[in-house]
Amino acid sequence: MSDNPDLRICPNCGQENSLYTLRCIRCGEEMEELFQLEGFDPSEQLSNDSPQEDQAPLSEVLASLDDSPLLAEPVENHVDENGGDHAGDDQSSVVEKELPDWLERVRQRAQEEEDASGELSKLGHTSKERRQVDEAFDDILRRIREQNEREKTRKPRTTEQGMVDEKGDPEWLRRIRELHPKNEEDPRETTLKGLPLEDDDAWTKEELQELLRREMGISEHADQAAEDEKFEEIETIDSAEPSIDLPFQENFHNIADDDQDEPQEEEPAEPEEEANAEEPESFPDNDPETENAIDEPEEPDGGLQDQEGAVEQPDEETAEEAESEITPPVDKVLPDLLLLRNQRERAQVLREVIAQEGQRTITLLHEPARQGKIGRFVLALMLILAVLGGILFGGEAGIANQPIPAPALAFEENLRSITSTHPVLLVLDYHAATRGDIEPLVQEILAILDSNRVTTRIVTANPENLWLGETPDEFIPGDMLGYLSAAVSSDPAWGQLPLAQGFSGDAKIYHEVDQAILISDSSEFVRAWLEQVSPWQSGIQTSVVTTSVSEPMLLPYFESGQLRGIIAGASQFRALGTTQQGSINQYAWQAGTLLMMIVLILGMIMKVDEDRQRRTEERSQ
Amino acid sequence: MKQRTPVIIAAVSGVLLLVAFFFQPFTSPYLGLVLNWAIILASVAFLVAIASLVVTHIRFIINGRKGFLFSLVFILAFVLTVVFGLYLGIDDQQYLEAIHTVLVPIQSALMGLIALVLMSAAVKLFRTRGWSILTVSFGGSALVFLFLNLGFLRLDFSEGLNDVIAMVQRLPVIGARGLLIGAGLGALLMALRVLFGQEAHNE
Amino acid sequence: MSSLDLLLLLAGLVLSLMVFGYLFGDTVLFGIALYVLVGVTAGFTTLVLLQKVLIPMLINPLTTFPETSALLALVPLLLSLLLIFILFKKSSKISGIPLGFLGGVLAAALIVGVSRGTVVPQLLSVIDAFEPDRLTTAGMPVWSAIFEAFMMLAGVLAVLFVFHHRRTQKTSDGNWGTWLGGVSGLGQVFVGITFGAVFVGLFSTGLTALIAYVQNLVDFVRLWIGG
Repeated sequence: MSDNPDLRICPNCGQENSLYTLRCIRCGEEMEELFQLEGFDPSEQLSNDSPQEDQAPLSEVLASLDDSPLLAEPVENHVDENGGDHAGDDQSSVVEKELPDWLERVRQRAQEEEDASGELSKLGHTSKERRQVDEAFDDILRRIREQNEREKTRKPRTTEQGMVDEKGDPEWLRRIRELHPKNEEDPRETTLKGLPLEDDDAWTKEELQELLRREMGISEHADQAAEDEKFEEIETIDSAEPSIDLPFQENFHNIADDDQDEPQEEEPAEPEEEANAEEPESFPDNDPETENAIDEPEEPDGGLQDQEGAVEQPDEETAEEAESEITPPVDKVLPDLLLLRNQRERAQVLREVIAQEGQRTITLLHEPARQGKIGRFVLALMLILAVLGGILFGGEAGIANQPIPAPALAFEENLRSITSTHPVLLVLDYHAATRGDIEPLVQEILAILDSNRVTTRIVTANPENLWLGETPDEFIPGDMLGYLSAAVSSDPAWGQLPLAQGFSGDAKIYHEVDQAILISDSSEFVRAWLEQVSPWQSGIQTSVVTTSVSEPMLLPYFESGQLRGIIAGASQFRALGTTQQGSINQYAWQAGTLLMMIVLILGMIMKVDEDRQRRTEERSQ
Repeated sequence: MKQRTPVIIAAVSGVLLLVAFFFQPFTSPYLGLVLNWAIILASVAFLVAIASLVVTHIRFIINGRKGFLFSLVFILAFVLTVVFGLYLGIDDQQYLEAIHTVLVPIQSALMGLIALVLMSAAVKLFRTRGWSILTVSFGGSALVFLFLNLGFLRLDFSEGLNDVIAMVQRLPVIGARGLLIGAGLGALLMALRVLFGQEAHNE
Repeated sequence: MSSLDLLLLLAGLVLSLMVFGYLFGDTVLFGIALYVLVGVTAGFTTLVLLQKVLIPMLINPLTTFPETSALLALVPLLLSLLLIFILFKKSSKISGIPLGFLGGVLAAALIVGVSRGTVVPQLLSVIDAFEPDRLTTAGMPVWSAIFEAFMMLAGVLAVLFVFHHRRTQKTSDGNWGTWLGGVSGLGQVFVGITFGAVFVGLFSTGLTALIAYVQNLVDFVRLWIGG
């Protein structure tokens, strides 16, 4: 057993398992101490130091079988098993004379000592006797099973939702009450009720007999003796160790097999079987006997209470006695509740979850935050210093020699081709954060357009552009919906559209426009324009001024011909063909970019080194 | 049924608008009208969202929730902006200048912070994500484009080298095109689900 | 420089330094700067929506009652009033009507726009790369164009495969699974290249902003030193 009282260790692999598991969750081996009941010392179940105690009940059972008419006389059979002394007597005297000394010594020793084959085989007498015992047991089981089937067919199965009757009592409770109606005149009932809870833990013979009698419909006086014998058979066999292979045992009752001191517990299992039979969805194989058998032995802590609930009436006196006197070591289930296995499992899981509260159950997956902050600060400081160094010590900044991409060249070519015949629509949609990338380009573009005497119409749907950069001529309400509405709608017969009333000037913003330059820091805005406006205004050629981050996602539109050109970021300032310097200090730019390259390579090297160290450690282990 | 009403309205209005789009030359006034209604509703929805934000922060202040200092700052900034805007008018140059002075440094600093954060992310990239096709191609591509952005070398002295660089600069088109088509198909599917009423909420 | 300009400059500097306090962790100053940003943006947006959208588009038409435009303006007015109920928990369900209308309109616009603006043109672009005019020049094949066309087709299909959601099932044919895995791997290469380019672009934009900020700081210091 592990230190945790709710867990136990698998003898095969050492894995900790729940107290009530049948098999180890790691290796699948069947766990010892299959059947445990609360209030029982598990060491009694485990210890093999007193096999005689284990065997004594069995001996009683088997001895009692002598009286059973089903069994042959053991003495004669025993004698037969031991070598057929009657038949061999005549021959033995002759053979003895010719037997070697060692054989003689063996025989003498065999006669003097007990049978070396073991207590079990001795007590089990002959295999034939054992077979007869099994047959008797099977017969009893079959009768009980038939009884249950009859009960099941008589009473329809109800779903879990339908188990509550008109009084609000669950179906299983009603059945228990039926099985054990309140009858104060019945001395046996009084006995059951009046038993102190300490004794209630142990089923008396009378109680078991009464229960079985009711189940089997046998009259009290007629077959009481026979039932006693059968109960003795049942209880003695059931009190055998779980290791004894009795395949019918699980199907018969739901009392732990190792409950040796209290063989009377078998009786309450039967009405419980019937009660549990009303809950078909709880049973995986719809066999209430199997379910009960599996249920009860696995949850011994609930078993006691179940048995009490099954036998006793849900009487307040006994319930109070149960609550006051029973002290289950692990859980405090009300004694008059019948819990199913899945309910107990859920309660167990909940108990374990509550027990884990506040405890760390998984290892930390991330490094401490403090270490990350220091690293981030150091890197940031390095970048700022690199930029500062470039600004302070770089001297006069020149224009860097970044290769100009084709879209930027196409933009410049398109820009130069714009004539003064038609106005150019400038659509603003950028934010203050990207003004360093965009505004130098916009200023240069406006200067080029001014030099060509091109009329520009500046519009925006972004409130931020009202105070940022160039003052727009119009504010378009509704963002892209406004641009779409202006593209597809026309003046209605009844007057003006609401959008027209929002304009200070001409509502037809696309009128006579054949060039549109989108000035946006978002590829999503450009994409929305190409989807919503361009299909309806196919005569307008669109080009874009954007940031470096948006350029990759807009390149497909340039490749497909939807965009005339793309100029992205201050780094492509040189594409406009101007001789003026760029807005940013190129030395600082290069220092920052170089530092980022070094950091990226450093990250790769650190990963390679980490992998190599881990492999070395694995090899050394 | 109550939960179905918005779905039915969405489906009906969407289908009607689709039909209007198909017959656009004839239905353009009605198309414009419906779109104008949508513009008004979208603006009201935005205002409702801002109102909800303000109410939430006021509630934080009243309840003394942890961090209510920030809520106080938000409410103060909001109220001052609205009050001065109503008093001076949003077209007033001084008012716009004040807005400009407050917002531009904050937004520019945030964008500069991005560069610093990206640097620390670059160090951790391979340690956290490990070696995979995606990370290796990502790292290699980033190194190549960073080198091109350096502008240390004059790369326009050879026609062949220029072609190679042009091809390298066009490589992102393949991935971007695939992403755009995939995203477009996904958006189409989602919009069709709205029109067919498949986007009903489960009760 | 006037005192007001200097004051505004100092205010901007202090706010930007508060943002850079994030390098030391999520500090109070950083939070204050963020909430100032959110508050001012929300306030300005509220004013713009009220003065430039709702008043001219919703309120002003109502003043021309009983003209047709005024009657038609009752519809968005009613829907807007229903939308306001979303703020109240008990009656928030009724706001589903205007939201449903808005959703339907956006869905229709999305269908038309995405199909005409992105999906069809992009697919046509992939197919048009195989036009004979592009692949040949004076009867001679242009191998670079042919290579690019096939590379584009294979790459686009591979990228679509990367995001293709297929059931995880044990295929009896191991070759099929290996082939699909190979295609997906090729797609991941192209996706990685694109993401690398986006990463560099984002860093470039951030670096530009950082350089501009540091430059402003240096200019400010020089201004103070130079008097």
